[in-house]
Amino acid sequence: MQEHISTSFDEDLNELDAMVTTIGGMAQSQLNTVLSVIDNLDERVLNTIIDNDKQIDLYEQKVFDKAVEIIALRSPHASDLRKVMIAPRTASSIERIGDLARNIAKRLLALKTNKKSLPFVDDFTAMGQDALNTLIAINDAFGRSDVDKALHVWENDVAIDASYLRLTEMIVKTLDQGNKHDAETMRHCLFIAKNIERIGDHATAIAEQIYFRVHAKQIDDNRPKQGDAEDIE
Amino acid sequence: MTNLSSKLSAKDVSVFYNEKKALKSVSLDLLENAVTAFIGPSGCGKSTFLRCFNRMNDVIPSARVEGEILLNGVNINTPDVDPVLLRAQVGMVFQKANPFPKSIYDNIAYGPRIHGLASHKDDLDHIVEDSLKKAGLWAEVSDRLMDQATGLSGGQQQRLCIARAIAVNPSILLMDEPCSALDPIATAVIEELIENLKQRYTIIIVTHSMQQAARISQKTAYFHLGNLVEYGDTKQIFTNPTHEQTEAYISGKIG
Repeated sequence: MQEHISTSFDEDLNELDAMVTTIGGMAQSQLNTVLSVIDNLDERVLNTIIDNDKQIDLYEQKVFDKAVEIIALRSPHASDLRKVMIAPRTASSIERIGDLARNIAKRLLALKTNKKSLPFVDDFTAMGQDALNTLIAINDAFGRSDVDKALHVWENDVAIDASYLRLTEMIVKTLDQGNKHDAETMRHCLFIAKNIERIGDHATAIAEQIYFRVHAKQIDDNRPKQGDAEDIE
Repeated sequence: MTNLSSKLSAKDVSVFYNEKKALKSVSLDLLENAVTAFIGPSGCGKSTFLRCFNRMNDVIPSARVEGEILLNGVNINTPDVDPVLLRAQVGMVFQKANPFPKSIYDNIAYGPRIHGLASHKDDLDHIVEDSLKKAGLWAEVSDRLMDQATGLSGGQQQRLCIARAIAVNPSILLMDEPCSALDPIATAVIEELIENLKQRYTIIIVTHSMQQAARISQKTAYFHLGNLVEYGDTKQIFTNPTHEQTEAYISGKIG
């Protein structure tokens, strides 16, 4: 739909949005792929995920450059300005999600190298799938400027936090009981759980950015957090 | 009739007003089928340079032009180039729209008539309609072509002047602050028109508005005190200019 008298201005803004959608798809693909090998720890696939992360980093820079170009050449105002300011912030959150998927892959690869498998794999799969569904939802919300869908993501991050707490409690209990899994494996598990939980947090950050883009103000920051999900490192 | 190719360049062009050197040995190649913006503070020589491309400085008694302006390899600064024919090929639009005190139709038809571009009325009607369509004005005036052109709004008059320039089949359009007298919406309409016109014509626009240069041009030339300081891709000029002087001007800094 043409909004501006200048069609090329419309094209620039649409291109910027399309770039954010593209980087969202790249991160989605990475997370989806890492979850697909969480059981069999396929080394070739894990190494590909790790190598592919660089593409997301480079693409984030492109989004930033495009935003700078639009600001320099178009002097956008009002809602146009918000769109242009929010795009690189969103791309940055997505790039961090990409980093987290890569970090999960690295830890899974470390398990494979140590001839281990991932304990509690069903719980990790479920939590990972929740994070992936959240990412899919927030990418969709961005593409359609769907504030309601963004708010839904924002409010439901508490579910991922709850999964994280349950999982970390199980991990710690296992360590306490000194049973079949070694400390190194448990350490990887804690970090993988934290990485998945952080994906949910970045998705809520994107939800806040979508809200600001549409309403020109911040969401009232009383987002529910489950227990001490903020505190565990 | 297709447009001629529009290779345009300047080599060591200087302009004097009596003893004052207003433009100092400027050389550049214009990009075809693109918009080039000339920017710079008042008195920097940008309009003087623009007028070199269709020898409009000839009509200023105190002005003297040195150097070469090459149009398709031919230097136009020689006595054997007919300036009237040149000004059909290199059209010009001015800051204040200057429609003739004639009908809309006759404003457009005037140039083709005197240049012998139409052998009978049907041809002329076609040229008028085609020019008005290319200038984005046809829809607004097609049912009142015999109305006085001076009755049009400012933005419409300026588009009429663009149509008038187009009617004699130029390859190059020179625009000297064409939107300075217009409101922001009329300006945006003309800018969108310029964006479309560049597919057919090579366009040079002098503008006081850096934002306009940033919006619509592909190349920008920055002038200061008669010197060409920097000439480059508009994107680069406005995000990372090479020269401090350029940066100071476009950022509104006082050097």
